[in-house]
Amino acid sequence: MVPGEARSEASGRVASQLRKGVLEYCVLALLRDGPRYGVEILDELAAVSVMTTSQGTIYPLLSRLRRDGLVDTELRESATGPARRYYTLTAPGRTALAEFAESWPRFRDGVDHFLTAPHGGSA
Amino acid sequence: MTGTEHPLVTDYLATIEREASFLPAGRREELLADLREHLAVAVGEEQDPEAVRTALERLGSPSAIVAAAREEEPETAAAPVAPPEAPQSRSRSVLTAVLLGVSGIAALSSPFAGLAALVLGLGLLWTSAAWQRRTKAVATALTLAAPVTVGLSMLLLAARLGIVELLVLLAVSIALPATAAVRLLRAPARAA
Repeated sequence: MVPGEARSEASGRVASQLRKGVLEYCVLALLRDGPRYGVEILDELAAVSVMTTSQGTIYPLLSRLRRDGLVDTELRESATGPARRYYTLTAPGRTALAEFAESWPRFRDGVDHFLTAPHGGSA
Repeated sequence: MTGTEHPLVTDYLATIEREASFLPAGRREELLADLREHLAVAVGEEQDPEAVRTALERLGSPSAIVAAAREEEPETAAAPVAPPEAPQSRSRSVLTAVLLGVSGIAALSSPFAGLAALVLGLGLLWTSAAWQRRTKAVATALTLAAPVTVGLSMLLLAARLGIVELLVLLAVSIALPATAAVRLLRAPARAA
């Protein structure tokens, strides 16, 4: 295997592991200011490269968020094309997002602490 | 016409449907409907082949989507289990044990009361799912042993029953059902 390939595969695995815990909160955050339809959510996520590799994987996530009652969906007619399914943040969804928003900085700072701070002892 | 009728799209969705066969039917349909809706919006009505290809590329490989769907399923979805039976209420267990436990003493004051407690207690015991068969059998044997012992003694030793024998019989008719009651109350919950 080419070393470069191995590296990119490994970093892909890291990114995918990291995404798992945070992606749903990014979706909830996208809905904070109002309903959005599926394609819109996927495009917003895709605009930030680390957030998704294949857009279609978001639909199972959206489906679970709906089952868990964190989002609601509603099919709306569109003037310019087929009906679009809009996703709305529910009250429990808003709570979940607020809790994540509160713990995330602590988590991020905690990781940064180990990555950047000089540590004593043997290297 | 919408973008979902393009042959590339049909193939794509068919692949996902096939690979997602492990999903519950409802969930699989939902996933396919979501993707179909997505493609209808993303591709538009012109069905430009380039637009179809781009939309499918951005959605990603069917196997990646199916893998994501698998991860969102609760662990138990793969092997549906019967909903656990509601555990027996503690009060019913206690009632069963008490009826059987007092049947011996009750019989001393009134054979009818003893019989009633015994019959009711055994009925509750054997219609219950809270104890294992073995536990039930032991409790039944202990409870029935008291009247059987007393009855046999009366028949066989009637003439020779002294105060000591009577006390022993009294102790037996109280202790055996009481033991059965204690065993029932302490029996571990039936394994699922």
